[in-house]
Amino acid sequence: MASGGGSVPTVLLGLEDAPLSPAEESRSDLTVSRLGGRPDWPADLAPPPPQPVCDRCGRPQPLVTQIYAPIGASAYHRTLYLFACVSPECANESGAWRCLRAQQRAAAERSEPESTARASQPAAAAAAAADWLDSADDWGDGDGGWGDDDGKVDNSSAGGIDNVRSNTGTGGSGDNMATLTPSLQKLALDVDNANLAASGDPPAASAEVEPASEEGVSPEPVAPPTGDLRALLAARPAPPAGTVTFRPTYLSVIEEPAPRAAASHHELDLLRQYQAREGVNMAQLSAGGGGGGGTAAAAAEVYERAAPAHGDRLLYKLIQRLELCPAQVLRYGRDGGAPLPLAPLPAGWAPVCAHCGGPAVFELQLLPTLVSRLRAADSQGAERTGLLEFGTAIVYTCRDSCWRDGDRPRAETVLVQAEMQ
Amino acid sequence: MADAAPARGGFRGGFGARGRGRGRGRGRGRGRGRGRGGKDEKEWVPVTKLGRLVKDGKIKVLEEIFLFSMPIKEFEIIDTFLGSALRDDVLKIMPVQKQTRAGQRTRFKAFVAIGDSNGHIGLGVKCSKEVATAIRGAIVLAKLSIVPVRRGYWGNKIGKPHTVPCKVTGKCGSVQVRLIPAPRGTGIVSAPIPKHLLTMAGIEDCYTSARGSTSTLGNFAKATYAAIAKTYGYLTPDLWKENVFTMSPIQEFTDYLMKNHRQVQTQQREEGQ
Repeated sequence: MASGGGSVPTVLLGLEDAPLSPAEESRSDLTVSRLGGRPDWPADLAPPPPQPVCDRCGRPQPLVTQIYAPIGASAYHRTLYLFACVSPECANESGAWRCLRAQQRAAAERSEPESTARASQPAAAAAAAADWLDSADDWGDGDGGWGDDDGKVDNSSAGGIDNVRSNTGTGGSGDNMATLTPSLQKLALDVDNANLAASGDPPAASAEVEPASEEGVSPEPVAPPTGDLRALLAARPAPPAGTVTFRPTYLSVIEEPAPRAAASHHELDLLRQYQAREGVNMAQLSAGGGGGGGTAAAAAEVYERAAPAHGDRLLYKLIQRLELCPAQVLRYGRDGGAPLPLAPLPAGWAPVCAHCGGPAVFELQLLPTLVSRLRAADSQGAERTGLLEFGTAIVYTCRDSCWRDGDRPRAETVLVQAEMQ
Repeated sequence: MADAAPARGGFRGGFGARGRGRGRGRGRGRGRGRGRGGKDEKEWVPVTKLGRLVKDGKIKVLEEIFLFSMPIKEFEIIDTFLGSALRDDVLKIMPVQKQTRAGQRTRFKAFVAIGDSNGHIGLGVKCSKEVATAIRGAIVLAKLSIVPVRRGYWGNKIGKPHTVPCKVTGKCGSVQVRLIPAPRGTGIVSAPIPKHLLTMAGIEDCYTSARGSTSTLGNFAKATYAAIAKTYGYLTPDLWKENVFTMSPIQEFTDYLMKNHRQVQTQQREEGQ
């Protein structure tokens, strides 16, 4: 369910934009969000920090992305720098990544905090006004309300029994008879699933082959595989010997678009064909469903959680979210957002800031779509993508963004998850 | 949150509540290199390594992925190989109810079968508040569940394979569906739902026999799909030599492991005492 009646936190998406020309690269500063290139440290940091090296293998780490992300009405410019090691042995290892945070006090920005406060108040008011609608829509697609309540309301065919129980529990004795009868009428025996263990999940299918008893029946010949897929999957491009720099490109920022409500032509066509074939229409279906819930046919079908055949639910959810904007490479959600992990987060995962000891919150996440976007020259000198391989990189930063003037860039926590095979 | 009045991280030209339009930082006013609303936005960007290989064209045929039993996690992979040959069909849309204190809430459950009538079949089920969303979700799930179908010959091995290679039985809930090889020209002898699935799979002739509550469409369709999928799931003698299996590391180092394994066992016994 959505958290406490508040609005769904906005997630900002980073999209790859145009590349930087060399002139733009020299003019770029810490307020520019981009991929690749060399890091733009704050001007007052003297001497500028050296290029970080990998903790595991000692290779210099190229800059993956630089994110300008000041917080609220703070008087600081705030930039995050993400570095990663490109050696094949360090792929998918959290220890091979590094995130540094640098802040610089913004001069002449004194008037901004007041204007930002004023500007944000109508925004906050608008957000509050829209909130009451959000919570009314309390079941999402496949998770949230419906799936979580499965424990309370089991099979809808047996839902009548639960209702009877709750009615007798809450109502007075006088009300029971009146409320019992319609509920009792909805009771139906779940014939098809009766022999299975009671569970909210639909029955799984299985199959078996009967030993060949007929002569003359023969299967078709199968051609052996021509390529070696396993080798292809394990192959990694060789990184060059010297330092690697990814091609710098700008990052443009948009808000995550709302799920599109319009149905595509194809779906409407399918729906029309189905209606023509079966001779029903949607209005009939909804009305029929609402009134005649007691018929055996309708009661036999229960809600099914969408389970992809490959079994990787987390990746399926990630792909569904990415569908809203396929070009995204980065998700930013410092204000209440949650990451979309590829594997369950470690139990008891509560990162803390290494400097002040305070808790760290989720800030941003690099998506696997970035792998095919980062370009660098490989050992042969050809520019190619895929040099840096990872599943997803989740960055947690200090909640209070601790910083004193004159500090060196501070390290933040990066959790790297590999793509599951 | 410790932040002040702007509850969302506000900022001036980077990530945060404001500055969206000027996301490229200060001093840069020119238009976006790639049109935001253009075709580029909806192009498939692979998320898995297999997807990247497919997009780059390193894999020629879909069968290679099946032969190595790799899970296909992106439906665009299927689209790349089968694309226009795939035909999808809605088997059934039915309302599913949830009892709440406020009354009954209806969701729609859509069953979609997808196939190219030439050896591939998929089945997807999705529930959603709106019919169109359920259909869309079911199409994606159907594409993800695509399996190859092995066919065979009844009698003479002339022409193309036309029937199931052996008797298979699929079971789901109380429904059991049995597929039996049939001579050429028989056609598919079955109830409408399995007939639909078998046609989409590319099987031309088949006898079927169904048991159980076949009016439960979900179980009936799933049982048929499981039976069709099983045709490739067993090893016939002609496949014994085809695949050269590399020795698994366990096999290769069995002797070494045996020695170490014994050592660990004795250590444990010592610690236990």
